[in-house]
Amino acid sequence: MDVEVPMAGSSAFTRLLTALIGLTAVVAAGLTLLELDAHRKEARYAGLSSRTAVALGESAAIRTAVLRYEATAIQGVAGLQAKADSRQSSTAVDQLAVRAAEQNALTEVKQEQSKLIGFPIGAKGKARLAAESTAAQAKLVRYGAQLDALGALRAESARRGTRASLALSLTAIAGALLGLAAVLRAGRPGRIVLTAGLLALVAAGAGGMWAVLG
Amino acid sequence: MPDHDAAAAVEGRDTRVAWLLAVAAIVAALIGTWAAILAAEASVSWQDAAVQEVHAGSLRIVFGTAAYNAGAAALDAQRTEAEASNLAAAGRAYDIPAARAEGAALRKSVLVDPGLTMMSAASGQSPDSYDPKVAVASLEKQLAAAKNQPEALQREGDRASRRAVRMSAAAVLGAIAFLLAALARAETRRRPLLLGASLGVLALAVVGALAIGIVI
Repeated sequence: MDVEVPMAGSSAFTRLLTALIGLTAVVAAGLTLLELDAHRKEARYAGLSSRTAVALGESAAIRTAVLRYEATAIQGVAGLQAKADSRQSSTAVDQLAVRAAEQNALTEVKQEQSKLIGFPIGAKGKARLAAESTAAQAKLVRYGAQLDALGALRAESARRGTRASLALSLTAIAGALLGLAAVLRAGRPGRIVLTAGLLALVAAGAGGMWAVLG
Repeated sequence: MPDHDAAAAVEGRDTRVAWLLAVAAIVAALIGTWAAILAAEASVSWQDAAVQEVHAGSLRIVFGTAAYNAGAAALDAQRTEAEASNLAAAGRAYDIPAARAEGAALRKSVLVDPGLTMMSAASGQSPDSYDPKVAVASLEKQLAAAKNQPEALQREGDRASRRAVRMSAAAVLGAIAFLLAALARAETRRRPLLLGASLGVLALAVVGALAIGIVI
């Protein structure tokens, strides 16, 4: 007949073990959430980075094409004017009628092209083109800074995720040790394993804090 | 007999606690899985938003660049036309055959740019009155009519992500219910209080998860 002999400290051991197992479950849940949150943020920042990179490329390509288009109008009309001037100065005969016709044609082209590019061709047009170019460059710099910031946030989230994973591994070790302590019961080996489990759990908690605050 | 009844009562309590522990663990795991599914949904939506942005951005880059290049060709054509008129007029006025011939040749070269022909056809414009802004606006109209907008997908992802965070909080409540039940198993003096608290927190976790998953 087996008789179970009550051991001193057995009840305290069981209570502590049970509390630690419960605490391990809560720590594991918290760390899982932390890891999930870090991966969630990493995914979000990765998506935003991709979108910003596309917006940067799009802005650079389109603004370059628009500026080239506007510059074509300004330079082209200036070139046309220069050709007409050179032709007229090289003609010896009276050329009033031709000059008037040429000027009319030039004015018409200038007006049409000003309408198309959306601002007047001439000195003001050149100034506007320069301002647009500066604004386009500033926009690209802003996009670049935004990309850098998103990259830093993404890297930070990845670091937090890694730390949470590390802490989660420690929690799993703590859980295994506490399970072993439950099998060994309240003897010396049981207490040693319980202490090791507690230390692993404390390390996991510290890892979790590192992931949150670090 | 009284000893037997007391032992049966203790066994009954232990069984109830064991059931509560099992239910709390299952509920916490289920809610945690639900949170993980919502987080995955958020991730997919964000990735879709990026894919759509890349798609729309590529179209804008290719179409927009082609539209403005064609615009530059149209401007060149306009000026060539004017220069051809001027040369022809000067040739006629001063009887210079070379100027007349040059003017006629220039006029022939007008509006042959393939990009301009293509882009004016694509945006339903005439090549001689082609405006790249109209072409770009027609693309934007088509992109705006597309079903999956990057901004909408991004918002959808953000929404799923917020739900995942709330669901995760409900999962933590489930884990706390498990902890309270585990403590109730060990702590005999405060067992009714701990069991009640565990049940209450568990109910809160379930109600919260259902509200987040179905209503919100």
